[in-house]
Amino acid sequence: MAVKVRVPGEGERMVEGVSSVRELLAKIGFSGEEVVVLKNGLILTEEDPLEDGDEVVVYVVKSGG
Amino acid sequence: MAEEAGLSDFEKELYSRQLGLIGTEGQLKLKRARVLVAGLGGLGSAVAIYLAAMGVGSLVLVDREVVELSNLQRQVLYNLEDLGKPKPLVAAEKLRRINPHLRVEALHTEVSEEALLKIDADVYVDALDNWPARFTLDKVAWAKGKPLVHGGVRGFYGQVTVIVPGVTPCLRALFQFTGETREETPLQVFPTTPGIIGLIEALETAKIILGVGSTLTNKLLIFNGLQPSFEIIEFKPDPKMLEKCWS
Repeated sequence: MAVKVRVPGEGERMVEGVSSVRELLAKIGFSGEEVVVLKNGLILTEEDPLEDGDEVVVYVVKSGG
Repeated sequence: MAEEAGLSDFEKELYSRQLGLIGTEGQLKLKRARVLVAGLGGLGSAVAIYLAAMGVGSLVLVDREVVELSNLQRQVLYNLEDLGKPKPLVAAEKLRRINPHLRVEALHTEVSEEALLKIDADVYVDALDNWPARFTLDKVAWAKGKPLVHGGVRGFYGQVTVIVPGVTPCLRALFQFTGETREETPLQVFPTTPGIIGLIEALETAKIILGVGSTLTNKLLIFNGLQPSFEIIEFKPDPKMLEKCWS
């Protein structure tokens, strides 16, 4: 069970042992951040499941002005 | 209305380097447009200066703050003489000197539904610095059925997207994870970042008004100033996202 995660500007990595977006964000240290998570162009929610081989983009949106 | 009659000789000269690109009709579209700029910090300075200079006819400027010394490294509307003064009032005065035809309304107030629902605009520009105010502006623009141009920055990084009711998810649905946002206090932002992101917001606003090219609807532009890159991530409008919006 591995998901390929791309963080724009920071490259790609494989993350093992996660079955939902919520678990993925916790594992990569993005819990509680304002993020956009996309899989094949679709915006995912925290509840959405992840499957082996999924490729997702995680972008932490910036809130300053 | 005088502005319907065309462009004066003064305006033809003032805009002579862009009339070849957008034509008199385009210039009149800008002149007839009313844009609300929420937030007059680093992003809002860039947005407001360029919208005024290019000839947007009417601006509504909203900010609750006064000018502070720590603003001056990036908020190019202000200088040392402005310390302690309300940002929208200072901004309005500066912008009138850039473009004497500009009609500008300065609101030194919080971004609230009560204040903003009274105001009509063709485009709403998010140049704010926090999520609660952003989502309030998002809710108002959504209720009005008008486009919202969003920009945000931190450090050397930023993003822009264009929210259009009926075409894209609202900002609230797009940026849906609300937990405890871990912002540095005070916010660290390299001066050029809000300039770059703010100018992209001004460009998107102008294109919406002019109806030229395409805009960042259902696209997220991501800027990395350290490892210089602009990346555009496209997303698909998903009906389930709209259920998370305001209406």
